[in-house]
Amino acid sequence: MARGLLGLSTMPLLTRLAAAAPLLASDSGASPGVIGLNPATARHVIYLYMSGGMSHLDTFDPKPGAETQGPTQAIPTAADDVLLSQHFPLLAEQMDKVCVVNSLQSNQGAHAQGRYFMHTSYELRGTIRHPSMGAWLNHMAGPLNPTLPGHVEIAGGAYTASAGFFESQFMPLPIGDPEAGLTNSTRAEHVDASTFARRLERLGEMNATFAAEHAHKSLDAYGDMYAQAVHLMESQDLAAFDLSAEPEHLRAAYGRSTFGQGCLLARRLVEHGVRFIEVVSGGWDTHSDNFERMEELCPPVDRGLAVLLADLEARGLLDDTLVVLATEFGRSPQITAERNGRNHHPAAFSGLLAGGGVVGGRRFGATDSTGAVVIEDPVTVPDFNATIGQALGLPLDHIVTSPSGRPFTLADKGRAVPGLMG
Amino acid sequence: MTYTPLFIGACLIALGLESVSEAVVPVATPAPVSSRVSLGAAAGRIDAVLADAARDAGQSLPATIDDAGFARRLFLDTLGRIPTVDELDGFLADKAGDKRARLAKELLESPGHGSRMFHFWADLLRARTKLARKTSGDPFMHFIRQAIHENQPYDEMVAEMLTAEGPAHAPGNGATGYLMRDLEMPEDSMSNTMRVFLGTAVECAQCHDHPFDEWTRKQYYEMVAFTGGLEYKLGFNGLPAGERYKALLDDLRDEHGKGAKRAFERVFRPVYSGIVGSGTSTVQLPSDYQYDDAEPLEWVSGRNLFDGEPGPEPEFPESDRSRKRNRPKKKKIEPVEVHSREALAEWVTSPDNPRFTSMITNRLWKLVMGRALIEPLDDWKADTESILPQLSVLLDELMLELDYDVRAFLSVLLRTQAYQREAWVGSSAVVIGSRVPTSPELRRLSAEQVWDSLLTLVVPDLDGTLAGVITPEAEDVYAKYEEVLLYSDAEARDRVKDQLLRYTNRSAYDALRAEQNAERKAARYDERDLVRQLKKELRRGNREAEQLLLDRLSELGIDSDTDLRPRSARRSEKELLRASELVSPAPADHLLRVFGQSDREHVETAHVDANVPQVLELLNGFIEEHLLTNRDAVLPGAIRAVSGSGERIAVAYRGVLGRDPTSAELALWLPEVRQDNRAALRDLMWVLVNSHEFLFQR
Repeated sequence: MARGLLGLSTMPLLTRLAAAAPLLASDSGASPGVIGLNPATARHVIYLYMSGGMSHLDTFDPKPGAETQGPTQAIPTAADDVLLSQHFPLLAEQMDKVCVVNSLQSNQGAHAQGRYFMHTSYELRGTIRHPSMGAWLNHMAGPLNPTLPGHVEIAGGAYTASAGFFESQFMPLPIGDPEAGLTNSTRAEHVDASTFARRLERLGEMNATFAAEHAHKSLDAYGDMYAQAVHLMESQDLAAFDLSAEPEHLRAAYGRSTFGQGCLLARRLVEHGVRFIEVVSGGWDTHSDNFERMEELCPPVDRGLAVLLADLEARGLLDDTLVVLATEFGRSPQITAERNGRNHHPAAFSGLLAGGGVVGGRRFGATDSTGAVVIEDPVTVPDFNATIGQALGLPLDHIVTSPSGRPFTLADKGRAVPGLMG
Repeated sequence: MTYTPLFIGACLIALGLESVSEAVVPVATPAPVSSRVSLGAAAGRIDAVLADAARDAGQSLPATIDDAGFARRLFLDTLGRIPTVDELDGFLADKAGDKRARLAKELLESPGHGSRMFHFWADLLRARTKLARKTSGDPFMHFIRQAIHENQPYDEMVAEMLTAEGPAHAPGNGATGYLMRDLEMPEDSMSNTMRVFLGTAVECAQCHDHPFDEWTRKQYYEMVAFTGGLEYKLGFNGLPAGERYKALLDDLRDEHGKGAKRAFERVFRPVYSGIVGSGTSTVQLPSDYQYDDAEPLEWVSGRNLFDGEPGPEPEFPESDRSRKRNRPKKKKIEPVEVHSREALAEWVTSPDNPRFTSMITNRLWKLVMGRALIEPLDDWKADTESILPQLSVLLDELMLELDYDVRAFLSVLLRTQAYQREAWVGSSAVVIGSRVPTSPELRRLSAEQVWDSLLTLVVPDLDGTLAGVITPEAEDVYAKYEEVLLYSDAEARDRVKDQLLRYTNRSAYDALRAEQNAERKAARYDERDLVRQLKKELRRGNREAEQLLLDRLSELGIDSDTDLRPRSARRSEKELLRASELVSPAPADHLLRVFGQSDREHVETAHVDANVPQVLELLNGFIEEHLLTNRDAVLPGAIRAVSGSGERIAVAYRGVLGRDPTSAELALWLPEVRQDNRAALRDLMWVLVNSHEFLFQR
């Protein structure tokens, strides 16, 4: 799995070391939750989240000829069996790498609940916060690159990915604007290196005196974080967050949208050993003017995702990077008369899987002639997540007890779906 | 330049001339700490129990903390921020023997205490600026501020939240926000009520009998039954002018068809949200009910979880033959309201309900001492025990004696010897259960304490920027509520038509909106812009416009120094406000959230864990931007105000850490400060604020 990675000369030392190590992690104590993993086909996840509820009919499950299809046309793709909507011409060329999942099902019809369910496999409760997939992966598998956070969320809202009841080190590092990168990671303009070093030295002395009188593990934690932060500031890995290091033509190829640049940043982070990167695209709640909105919403995703897949493949990263596209639910075949839109439709919707051991060039599951109901190989949200978890080698039956004493697993009652990966 | 009615309206709002009900105007100063119970004697009883227990455990009592350390601790605990150099110096100069107790009383009675306690309640009650379905959380936050300000007894405050009814945005009705938090989720709402006020986690029983506690699924629904019939939308019947609006909507429907209803609801949204239903004392079991003691979909009646006492008897309407004939398809049985939420509130807040009192005494003990006597604090099982049962009993008795007076209770804790001692610095890894809590525990400052303490170093008269009990944001919500209620039929009709346009002709609607926004923007001219505009017009020779404007302003009684924007707009631009004045919760990338402010989505989810972005913020962010390169910052000013390198170093230490430098520290910094005063003092401030000592409370 690591063969592609090893060939890259830009790879930081730590990642190279980690990549050379057997994938079956041992209980080295690197992280409190690290456990023995099952054989895996992927080590990283780039999770593309279409927030608001992406219309499956106008994207990955078009129904040419159906009355409810509206003006959206279907186009052929590089995969014989797969049609996409007209809004994804670039992705169509990359479909040999992609498995389209047309049979997703959720039981959550509201946004917050649906997003939460998709991210955690558990229903939103007022009483506990469950960890999302990125937190589970890092908690169980430990870091590949200890100098970078293992869980990053790009352009996300506040309530999607979360460490849940895990320690806060599993919270996603939020990057609001991919072009701005990681804030505060460089010295203030007027502070030169020697001043900064002098200050740090004084700070170290002062903290040592304080810690000598106040031995406490929280103080140790801050000591560690200062070391990590300074390390990060000095580290070449900081460059992972800096898109200006990418050639202009490639940045343009990904598209000058937040989503496109987010995809590019995600690729850089994978190169630097970050395990789970979520890139969020918002605005998919097309209750009104569905078809006009599709023309605005789809192109950045088409471009960003298509170029991401090609770029990952060209760099040998696609083999062990699982690219997932998900959303909270689909949209109804009925087109509302008043608003020319589509309403929420959790009964059937679509997602994508690519790379990381996925056999591409096919679709999985099917809906009926209008896209209203799943008629073949239904995939529930917990099953979808269980399949991702299994690809990552995460044991689905491993129980983690919350601080409140309740038992939880990675995908709740979800089971990996046979044949979904290929 | 023209002057629209909107502009003049904005001027009126800016001047505070708009009507907001008298019900929400608070008394000027916070309620004083006073009680018929002797607070000093009560503190003595607590110390006696602790001393006995420590002796029995063979634990020695820590030394008394010095005055400077005490002051920092007390400011952080009561006001949620460190003391300024002046505040600290004033206390240290005071030679009176009772100065610690006096300072505690003074701080508990100051507005800053309200700011500190706001977060205590906001984390517990999940107070957010924005609630679901576009309902504003500002009235709920106003309710919390007012309860703190007036020192409303805790049992009354809880009862008010559990029984609140009516429009969520009506002035003075903010307590409805508690139930609004769990919109359309009455089961979760009950779980939260049980956890927050009774420390009992019943949520597992929502789906199955509790696996490791005694509660059954049926018992769970018997508790939910108390809030049976709860609805979160008022509809016409709940509105003061409901009949009129109903007629209006019927009219609009005839004219414009189905879309009229949605447009109508949009216009009237500010008056729609609220709590309806005093409780039917009954609820249907879910369709997947799996046990033998009842059938799926069976109606169960309210029954208290602990003592099994039944709530009010549910009532179902008599079956009416004639109605049945007319509406043969009506399947749904609607039980009648029997005020079971009142019964619930009475049971929850009853002095005979032991967990109710223990929950608040534990939380307040934890607030002051750093760790509760019972942990985890809100998940009691049948066999849960206090680490010091005799102290828990004493605290609960005291709370009852004080009639749930939170401020008096805090005052007792602050007067104890235990609170005056050196902090306990134990690793959390050791067995806590065996330790007698004879002094407060070392802990990281809360996110809000970090932010407010940083601002103390930067913003002059920080607590003077507190808005008080009713914030401009809440005022705006109330004003909007009253405005909508006062629409004439014609106004309402126009607005609904605007909204209808939204669905029929989006581009025309967008154009209309743009126009309205432009008008609104024009109305928000701030004074400086106005003066600038005036000068510009004057240069252009347009004396007419200038005169017209001046006339209008003088008609309105506005002098040329008045800021014409709405108060809330003015505030939101100034970001260096205390945490209690900012949006709740702060945005995800705000320093507050980075340091662990609760998202207020779930109960008490704030954290004090270390992470890299916090450190980066301190290394390269806030301190550089606001403290070291800001000419107006408080601490650098205080340092500049004294002469002599040694004295300057001392002021820096007192300002940031609340203590003087040790002789070793002074010796370390003196040569550098003497050599390059400005650069070295910047280094010093940077080091002090980055130090663990700043971030932790002893």
